[in-house]
Amino acid sequence: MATREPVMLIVLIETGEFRWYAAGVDRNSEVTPLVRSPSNDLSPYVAQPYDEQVSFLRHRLSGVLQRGCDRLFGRGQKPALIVLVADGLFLEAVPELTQRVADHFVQWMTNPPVVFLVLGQSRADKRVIAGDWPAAERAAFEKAWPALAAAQSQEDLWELIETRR
Amino acid sequence: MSAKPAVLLVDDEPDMLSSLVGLLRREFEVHTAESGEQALEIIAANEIDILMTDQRMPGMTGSSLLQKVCEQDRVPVLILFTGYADIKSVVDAVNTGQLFRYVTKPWDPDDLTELLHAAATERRQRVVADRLDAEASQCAALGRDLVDQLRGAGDVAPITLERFVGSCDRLAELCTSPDRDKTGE
Repeated sequence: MATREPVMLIVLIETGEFRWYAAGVDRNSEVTPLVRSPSNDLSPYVAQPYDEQVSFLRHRLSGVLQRGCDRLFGRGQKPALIVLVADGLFLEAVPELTQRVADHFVQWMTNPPVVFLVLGQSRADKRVIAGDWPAAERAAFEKAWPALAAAQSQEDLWELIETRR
Repeated sequence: MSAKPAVLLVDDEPDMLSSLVGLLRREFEVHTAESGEQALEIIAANEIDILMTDQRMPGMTGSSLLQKVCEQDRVPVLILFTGYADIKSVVDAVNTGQLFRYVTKPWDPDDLTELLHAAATERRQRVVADRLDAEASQCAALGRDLVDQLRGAGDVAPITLERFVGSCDRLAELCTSPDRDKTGE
């Protein structure tokens, strides 16, 4: 078995653009952009019945986690904590949808554990809606947060993943 | 079974398949399909030892594919993977699909490789068990034939005796095979 460096896998969800980014953050808060989707990758849930919305988002986001983990493994790293960060509630859906999806990942994925955050009015305003956020990982994440935001604005840093509808 | 166990991976997302192929190609003979229909064609044309399929795909779901595969003569070791806990799909797959394992995304590559090697061992054991069953039936039939011949004319046809001895030898060989499933003893 290979020995891999434990890092955080961060998934940033842009609810308005219906797209996502996945990055690694190591214990020194070093950010490694990994993969991203084009706009509207998450939009197929819109106008679906509620249960189908939940099912689609679970499936699509777990595919994001798998791709992120694959890229980490390829770099000799492994996820020790998965942090999903949505910049708001999922749009064009009932407010409960975001909580239901967050609860699913936290309850279903225990190794590595998951924490789900939702941003408030500003990027600095982060609210944990599901999962536990250990202090050390939280500190490393907060330190990496500006670099994550900067990386998000440079699309060439990320491998583009075109998923099927 | 060939030197490398043959694995068929089924997922409608080509980049997922590509990651898996990269992970597994050194240790397995890897086939890929982007739909259940394509998977059935590959199974019909190749000797597949392990079938690992995604659950949520357009058209045929993973559990439906497993059900169809189970209706065929040669059933590979079956693994279903999915990104979400859909209890109904698990129940369907277990009850109708002879499921070996249910795997969730994201998986650890070492764990997945280990799982597939365990599946390959399972497959080898099933092949030996099937041959053992067939040979035991053949041996018993020949034994009955011999008894009938001895009861009748009292003479045994040399060919029957030869076949019986051959069958006993093959049976003994299968009974001591390292791939024989010891749990059934």
